[in-house]
Amino acid sequence: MIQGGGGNRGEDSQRLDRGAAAISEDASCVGQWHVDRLCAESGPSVTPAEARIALERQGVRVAELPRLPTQPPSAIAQYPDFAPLVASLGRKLSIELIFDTTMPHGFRLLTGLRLDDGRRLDREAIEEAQRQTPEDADHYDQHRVLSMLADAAQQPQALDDIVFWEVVEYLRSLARLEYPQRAIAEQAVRLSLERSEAEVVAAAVAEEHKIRESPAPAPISDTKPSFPATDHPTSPDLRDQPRPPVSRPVRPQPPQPVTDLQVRPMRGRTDVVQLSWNPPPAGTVWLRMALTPPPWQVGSIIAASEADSYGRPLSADGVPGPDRRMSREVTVPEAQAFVTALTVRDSDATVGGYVEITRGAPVRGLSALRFGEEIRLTWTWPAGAISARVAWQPSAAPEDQPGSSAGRQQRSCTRRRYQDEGGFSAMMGYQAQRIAVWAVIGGPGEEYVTAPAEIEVPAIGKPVRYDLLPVRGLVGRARRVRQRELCLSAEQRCVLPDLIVVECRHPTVPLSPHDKETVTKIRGRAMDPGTPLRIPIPLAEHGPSWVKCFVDPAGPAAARGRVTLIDPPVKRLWVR
Amino acid sequence: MFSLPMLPRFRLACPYCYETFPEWRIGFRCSGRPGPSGDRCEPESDPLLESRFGITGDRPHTFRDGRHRYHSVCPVSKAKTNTRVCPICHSTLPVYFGRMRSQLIALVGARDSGKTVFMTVFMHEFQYRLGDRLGAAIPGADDNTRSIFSRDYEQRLYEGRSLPDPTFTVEAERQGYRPPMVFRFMRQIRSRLPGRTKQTLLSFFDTAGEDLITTASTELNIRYLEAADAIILILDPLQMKGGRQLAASEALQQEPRPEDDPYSVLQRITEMLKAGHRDRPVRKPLGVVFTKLDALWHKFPEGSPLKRPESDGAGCDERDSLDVHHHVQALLHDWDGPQIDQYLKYNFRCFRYFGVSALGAIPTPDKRVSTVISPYRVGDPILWLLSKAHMVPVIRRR
Repeated sequence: MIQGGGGNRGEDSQRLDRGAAAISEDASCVGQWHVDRLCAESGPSVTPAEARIALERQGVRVAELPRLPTQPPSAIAQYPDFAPLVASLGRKLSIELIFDTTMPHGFRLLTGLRLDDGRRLDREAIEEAQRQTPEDADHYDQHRVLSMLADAAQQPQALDDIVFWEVVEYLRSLARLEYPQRAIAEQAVRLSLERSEAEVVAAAVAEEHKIRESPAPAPISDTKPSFPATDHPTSPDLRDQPRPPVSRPVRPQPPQPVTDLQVRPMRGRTDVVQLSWNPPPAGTVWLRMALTPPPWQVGSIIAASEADSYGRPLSADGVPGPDRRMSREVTVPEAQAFVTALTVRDSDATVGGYVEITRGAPVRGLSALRFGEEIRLTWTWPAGAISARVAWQPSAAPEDQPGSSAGRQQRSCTRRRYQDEGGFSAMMGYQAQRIAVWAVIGGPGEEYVTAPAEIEVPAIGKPVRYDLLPVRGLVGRARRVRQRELCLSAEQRCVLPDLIVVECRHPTVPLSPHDKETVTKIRGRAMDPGTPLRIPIPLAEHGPSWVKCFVDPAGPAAARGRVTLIDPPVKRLWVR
Repeated sequence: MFSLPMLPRFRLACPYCYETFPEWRIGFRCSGRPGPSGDRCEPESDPLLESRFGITGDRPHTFRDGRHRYHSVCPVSKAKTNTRVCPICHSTLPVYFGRMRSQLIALVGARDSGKTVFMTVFMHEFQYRLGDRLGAAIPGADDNTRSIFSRDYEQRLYEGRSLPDPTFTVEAERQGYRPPMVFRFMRQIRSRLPGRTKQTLLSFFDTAGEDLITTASTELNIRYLEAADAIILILDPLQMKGGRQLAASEALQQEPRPEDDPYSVLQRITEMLKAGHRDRPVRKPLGVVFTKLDALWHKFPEGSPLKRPESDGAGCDERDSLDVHHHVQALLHDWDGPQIDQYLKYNFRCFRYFGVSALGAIPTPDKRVSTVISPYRVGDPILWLLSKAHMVPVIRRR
């Protein structure tokens, strides 16, 4: 260690004061890492105690910062949809659902969760919230989050860990957006976290972010600092974080587009929707709303000024949610509109994805059940919906023709009919289908449709019918030969996989082939509609017995699913 | 199956107490209105109603009139009345009772097998889908059915999205009476004469699963089963070992109870039906309905009769019904071995298997339905029974 002389010490002292003043502009509380860094930057003669005094002189509190969690608590790790559900309910913290408010009286976290108004967060409180929540489809997500919390409450400290995790994740997303530490602390206070704790947690989050992002401090002279900056990490979790190199070659790269812009309904509100997106690593996100989709492809790089010609701007000062995504509420326009995200850096803008916004939330929980050619759809209606439009189109429609309407069909379904008839059913065929459902909201004269909910229903094998017919001709009849003719017919051109025909004397019709029952194997081949395949099947001399055709289970798996064998009437499978 | 409506019938069964009596024993209840001379009958308690069903409250007295069939005059007040009552239990009989055939259908099965849900969903389906398909209507035949079915069954399931509570045992009925649901089935038939319809009264007695556990409690149900024209036996495949192994895990919310074992339930019911009779197969048609197929759908191969679209014919599709029968029979052998099938073959002359899903989805652990009720094949068993009674046509396809 090189000790400086008296002149150097004076300069070090000045640097120390300047550094502490600079820190105080951004932070009201720091941890040991800042102290060490300040020492290193000020000069070798500055001790940590002096740095601490200098910081406190500038009004910056030096505190022991908490260890921040790097993984979600185990109690919610098993529920990957926990954070998205909380976000979709318009809440930043899940406990807001329990107390049905934004925690007006504040709470403390660092020594265990304590609410300032004396209420307790425990299983009873959660169960009370469950009782208070209406049991209808509109509150399904809320019930789900509460059930997850109730499950978690069975483990000691789990609820404390969940709240701490949510607070930290929320503040981390602010840090990623380069919020100053004081602003992060203010946001923590807005979450109702007690101010001194909010400052400490904000300091820990900001420090973690700085450790991740900033290069190691460069030595201010040819003398090395007395100790490396990493000797005193704030958090053991961060100890192994790789440090970025001191200097990086700067290569100008186009800003990355926002490709995951999403729109989702706000619980209980039809006039506002929530936009959300993952912030790109660099650049500023602009949102622009227009009556038509953007004229540019996703990923196109345009001049930032060119974007001004498209629609009108929406301020993109989104708020990060617990799912680490930026989110922003938008008042739903009267007419259909499109919102596009653009990432702007310098004078360039990269076009990102766009979403369609229409009044009313889309249907939720769209699910499909296939019964052969018939597909039955069920969903949860948004509030105020009176009917739905259902459109379906084979998924095999050429992808290079977006908007191609080949094979597209559409039907309407009133809500009354849906409820009374148990969903929406239609014959859609055997092929894979892309299905979209729009809810229609409003009364006569002012109907509007919501954004669509979509689902893809996989195909089943092309239908191949078979029958077991008596052998034609006089010889067969005269000799009373116990023989049948397998007649296979396809409705569409297809490739038949290997088939087997089994004969058995089980008391019931065979559901699957068994060993030593196979009487005929049929090699796979191409089949054309209108050209049935006739194959004689030799049977045992004496009956009666069940005769049934199966796709050969020993055949390749990919081939087995190509067709669906349709049995004849069961009485024809029983051969006397 | 044709009957002469003008001739009195010798054997009628009350749709509420399931007791049988000849038509001329039907009683009347005074209307309570003043007669021509201004006299009025005072209401009084009815000990028969009270002892049978626990129904209390005063009402006008009953009397017998062997000369009139549809209306009478009160011997006390001389007021005209057309309120007919069962001579055994004093329940007010439906307006059309005795003028049309009656089909008493007993719904039996173990606890939690889905009897009440099945009946509720069938009625709802009939009102909104099957009725249109068959050209038939099935309104409630009395005020009680109309109000109770709508309030306690249909609204609770379809609007409240909540599965019904366990059905009252017969013992418990005396405190909280739950009468059979009586509906009037009407179907327009093709005829040169306009307006010809086929009509029957359908009475569903929904037994409590608990009533079938012990011989003592089953005694109370024997009357119902003896008088029933047809029986629907509801079996839960999730109570069978093989069925549980194949079922979706979220459907297995409770362990099977030994007393609810489907084979044991079937044996008890058969013994009740054969008690006091010669040992020969039961002649009443029996629909053996396997419920909760939604928990097993994922195991059925494409092309299975239980993954086909439902028949849309105006009657009972015999081919489809037989396909399902044989397929379910094979599944039953997989789930529980051949014992149930063999037992049915030896003890019932006419039975058929059905597979249904009344809800179309697995209910939540707290017995709620998270989405719309989307039933599958729920009409098949009763259409088959109605076809056996010649009330709906049988569709035969090659």
